[in-house]
Amino acid sequence: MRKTGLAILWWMGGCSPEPCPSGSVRLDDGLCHLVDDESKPARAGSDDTDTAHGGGGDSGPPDSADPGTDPPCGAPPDSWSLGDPIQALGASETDEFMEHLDVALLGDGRALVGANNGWSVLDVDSGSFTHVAWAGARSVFRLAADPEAGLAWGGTQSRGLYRFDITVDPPVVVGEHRPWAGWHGDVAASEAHALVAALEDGAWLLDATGAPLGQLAGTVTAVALDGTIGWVAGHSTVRRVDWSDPSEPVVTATVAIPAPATDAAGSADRVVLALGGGGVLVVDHVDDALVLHPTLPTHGAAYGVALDGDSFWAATWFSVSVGGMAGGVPTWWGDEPAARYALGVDASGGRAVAADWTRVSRFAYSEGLGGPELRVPSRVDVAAGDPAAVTVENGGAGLLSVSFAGEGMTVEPSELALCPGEWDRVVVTASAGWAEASALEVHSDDPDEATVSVDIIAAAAGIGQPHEPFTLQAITPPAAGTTPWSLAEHAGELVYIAWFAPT
Amino acid sequence: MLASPDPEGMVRDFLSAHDVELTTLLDNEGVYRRYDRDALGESHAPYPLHVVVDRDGVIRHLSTDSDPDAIVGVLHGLLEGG
Repeated sequence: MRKTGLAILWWMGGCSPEPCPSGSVRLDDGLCHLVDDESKPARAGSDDTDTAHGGGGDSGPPDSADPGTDPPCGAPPDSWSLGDPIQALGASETDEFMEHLDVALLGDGRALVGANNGWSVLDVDSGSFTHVAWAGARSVFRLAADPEAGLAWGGTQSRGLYRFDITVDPPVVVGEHRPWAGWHGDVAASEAHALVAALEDGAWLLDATGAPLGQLAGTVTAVALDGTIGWVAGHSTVRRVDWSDPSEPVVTATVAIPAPATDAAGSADRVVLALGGGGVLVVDHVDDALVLHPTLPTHGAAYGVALDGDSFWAATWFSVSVGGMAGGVPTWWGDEPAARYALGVDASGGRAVAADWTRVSRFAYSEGLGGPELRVPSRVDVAAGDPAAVTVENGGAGLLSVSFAGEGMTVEPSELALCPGEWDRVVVTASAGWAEASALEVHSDDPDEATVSVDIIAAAAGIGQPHEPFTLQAITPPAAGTTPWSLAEHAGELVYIAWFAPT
Repeated sequence: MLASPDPEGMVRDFLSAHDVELTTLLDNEGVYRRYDRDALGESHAPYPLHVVVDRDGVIRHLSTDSDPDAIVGVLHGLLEGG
């Protein structure tokens, strides 16, 4: 699929192709594509063949702007005023080290927060922790609350699913359930049911006691549930499922997605998916088909999403973002920097709480406001003598005007004008060589970040230095056993190593 | 490729659960601990840790941020640079 323009994928779930919806045509790939006469480059001022652009999969920015018209990014959405839509209310931490991974609002002013070594309860208004439960190596990776049923569910990934009684304070674990084989991922809850993404063992629906009611096959990594309508997303598709008869779930529609889903939040006719490095995707159910909107780029990998009425929130490592539909197109209204690293979020009534690694952060949303959002890295590491490349992106709504200043630096280009979703890269050169640390000032008309600083760090962290040679044993699934792997044997190749911890 | 200092069994379980078939290194030699992490700045998470090594064996990117765009940018820059 082209990186730019707008394509809608329709999949009717039947054996013969249905007619394409009005305004779209079926192309040779078998999919229906909008007749798009307002395609827009993803990168300001360049053609759309620049494959270095990322953050948002292979779709372009929201199709709400038409370059060359006045105003430069197209008419602003109706009922939308320029302003800062999201305010940070504070960030809290526990007395001892905890890595907060997800959060679920309990509907009574409390938030249940899952962490790598237990869980905690936060008072949303004050930001105070009212309870902390240490659980050793038992992590709570994903949470879902069902306030009306008095329950919450905590996914532990490699162990069972916790069932919490949230009618008491603090909530207590009253059951642990694992009818599926292997690990599990996301969890959703609604009307006294829990829906669990059991990875290769499909999606499992449980009742209020944790007893299994039904299963849907296929790899499932993220789920959402609203009454009897569920959404199950995996590595390459999202399916809308009718669970009215739990023993025989019915897939009502399916559509391909551009990247694996890590989290989902949904209502009967809409699902919002966190796609990791692929951004955030909104999918609507319209006339028995699924409409795939252009993927929203995010500042960092999208790990968690939440729905709050017509708004949607995302936790994307660097930021917590809020967005909505503008003229039928998903649009970011604004974002706030994460206190640490935003990994999970829940929202209700214009308030959001984010699991922010070693912090838990709280935010408030002012509906009807939006503005450009400056996104730049906090630091750039460069080898001595090299220029620094700094990526600048507009992650909000409306035109973002940017200028730069730095002692002893030249910046090319010296100014930028970016429409929503656009990005560009400036090259920063030090006239007399880099000091150990230099600060590039970035000035913009972002309503809440008029001036930010990018630290340019010279020859730090081993950058520019040879990697020490090593030989380690390598696993190459699905083969059994290990084989030695040496860095020296890959001289002449680019090598990318992603260090991770499974749990 | 992936790399982890955790035990082989745990790593295999994780790869299997998430249907990952990338080559994964088992760090029984402490390579992970020898990166200059202090210079990465404050408040960095222990994971992820991303390393890009160019064709001459030189480290060109070292980060604990979950920033796919940055990594893709570095890789493309190195590919374009030959």
